[in-house]
Amino acid sequence: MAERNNSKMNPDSILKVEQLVKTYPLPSERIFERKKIFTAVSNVSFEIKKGETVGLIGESGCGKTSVGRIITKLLEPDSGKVFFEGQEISSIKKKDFREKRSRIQMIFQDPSTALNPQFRIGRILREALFSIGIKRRTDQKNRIMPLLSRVGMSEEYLDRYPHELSGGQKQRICILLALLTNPSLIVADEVVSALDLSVQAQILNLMRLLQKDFGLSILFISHNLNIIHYMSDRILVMYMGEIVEYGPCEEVYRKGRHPYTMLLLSSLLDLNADKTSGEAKDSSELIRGESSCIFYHRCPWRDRLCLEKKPLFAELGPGHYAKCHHLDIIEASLK
Amino acid sequence: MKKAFQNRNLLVGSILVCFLLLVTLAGIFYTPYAPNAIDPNALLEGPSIKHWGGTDKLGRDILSRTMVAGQSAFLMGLITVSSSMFTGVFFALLAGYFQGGLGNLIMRFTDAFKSIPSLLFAMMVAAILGRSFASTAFAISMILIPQFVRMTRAVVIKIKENEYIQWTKLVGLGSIRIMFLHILPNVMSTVIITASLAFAEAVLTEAALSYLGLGIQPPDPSWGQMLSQGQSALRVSPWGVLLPGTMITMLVLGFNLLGDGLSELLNARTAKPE
Repeated sequence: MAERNNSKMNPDSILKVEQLVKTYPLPSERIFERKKIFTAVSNVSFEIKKGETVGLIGESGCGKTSVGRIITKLLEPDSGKVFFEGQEISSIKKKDFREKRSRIQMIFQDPSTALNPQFRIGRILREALFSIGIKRRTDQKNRIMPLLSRVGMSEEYLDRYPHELSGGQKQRICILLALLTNPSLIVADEVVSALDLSVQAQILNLMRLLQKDFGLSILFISHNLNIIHYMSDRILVMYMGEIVEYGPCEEVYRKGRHPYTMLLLSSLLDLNADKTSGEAKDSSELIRGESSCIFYHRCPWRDRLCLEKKPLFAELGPGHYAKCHHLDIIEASLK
Repeated sequence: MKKAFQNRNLLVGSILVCFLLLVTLAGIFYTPYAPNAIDPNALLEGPSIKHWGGTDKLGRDILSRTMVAGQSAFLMGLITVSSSMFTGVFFALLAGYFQGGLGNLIMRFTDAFKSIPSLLFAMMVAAILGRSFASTAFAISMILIPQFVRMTRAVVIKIKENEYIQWTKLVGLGSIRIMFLHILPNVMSTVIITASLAFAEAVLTEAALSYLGLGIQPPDPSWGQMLSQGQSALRVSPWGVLLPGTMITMLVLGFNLLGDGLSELLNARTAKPE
């Protein structure tokens, strides 16, 4: 990553994340035990350009949700920097962030817990406008109405409670809620995983449509490679808190070379793929070696080098990088 | 609405409470005798057509006194529950929302207060502030606060983790607005259930205090006081304690059933949004 030392932002990039680290203390089993620490996010750096959708993929517990929450300032990172629209936002005070805050929005995973069950839909939407200082009822209505039809809903839904809506309708409202404050970046965390398959496609298409029209940048977080492939311009593959491979969408999807990416791709093609991947332990149980490759325990190509030295990003193609020592061996084995 | 009728606890509880409320309210406008009227010709009589509940050792009509005593019991419950509810829920919101520093401070205070036996505390208050309706109400309110704080805080912490509250922080709404506008409506069902159970406890505590002679002072009647007076003449006239005892039992049972029924009804509704 050549841009790592250069903390000035590209003019066409909207978000830049540098060396993000987030750790959680694990609950100690005995009283005087030394506290163990779980590293959820480890040295994550990436960039999102204006109007771009970046897909962040990884298994559950790999830290992808933590990344999303750090960007939206729901979580404080232990170290690292987040630049948004040219401004460093990870360390600034809440008061100074107020203006920028509405420019980053989030769509949550489960639409049934993302809307206050005690409020009617209209009230929820008005609260979003209240947060950016639009307090007059007529102004609020003028803002809500045009967007309402854009997400495929009509005025009658404003008087309903969230539980009177279907999952897809709720997610449409959540999307509208995110759009109301006129954001430039949306963090979409597993937005369709709680929905029926038939509804998933509708929601994804709606998001693509709105993205084009509003020129939004989206960080699309998911564990589903197909959905990521459908939505994204670029893909980041995350494993145990680290980004192990990133690159343009088609490149990673067709020619992903990191062993973990290949595991994801093969599990996609064939559920009964022979288990060359070693024993698949739950990633949270594995203890990371400070100096070894993060994927060592599950990698079929592992050797001493992987145990002793952490791999760095190696270039695979234009803008396509992977963190592995044995990319050439893997490449050769595929032929 | 249909569900409410299928709910046995709720039905029986509300019937009991309504019945007692009716009897008590009737006492404001009509009692068979003046509650404090002494009749030396009718001491410790059993139930008769003239005196349905019998008379006590001063010849006062027990039914009339029971009805009037109900007024102070309900009034005491209403005052103590509402005042402890407001303070308790307020602190619970603070403690649940600002977990850590302020939250811990509030909870440790609550724990410390909870460790004082409630009757002992009420006696202490009576000793300091004197024996009166007001001091009893103050003591009972204080006793009831911790359970409001604890029950509500637990729910606040749960609600706070919901994405719709996370979202309010994301868009930068103020803490006060989040607490009172967004979280409070979602904990109201718990508050109502707790209030119903607290009402029963308030009445019971008041009866206990009056029984010990610390609550409502004679000649004004109260159920606990009537019990203690009836007890001294229990061998001669056992029916003296019958009516006030039944009233206390029915009221406590009624509010407990009401609380259970409400919790079934409200929790079922929130747990299954369909």
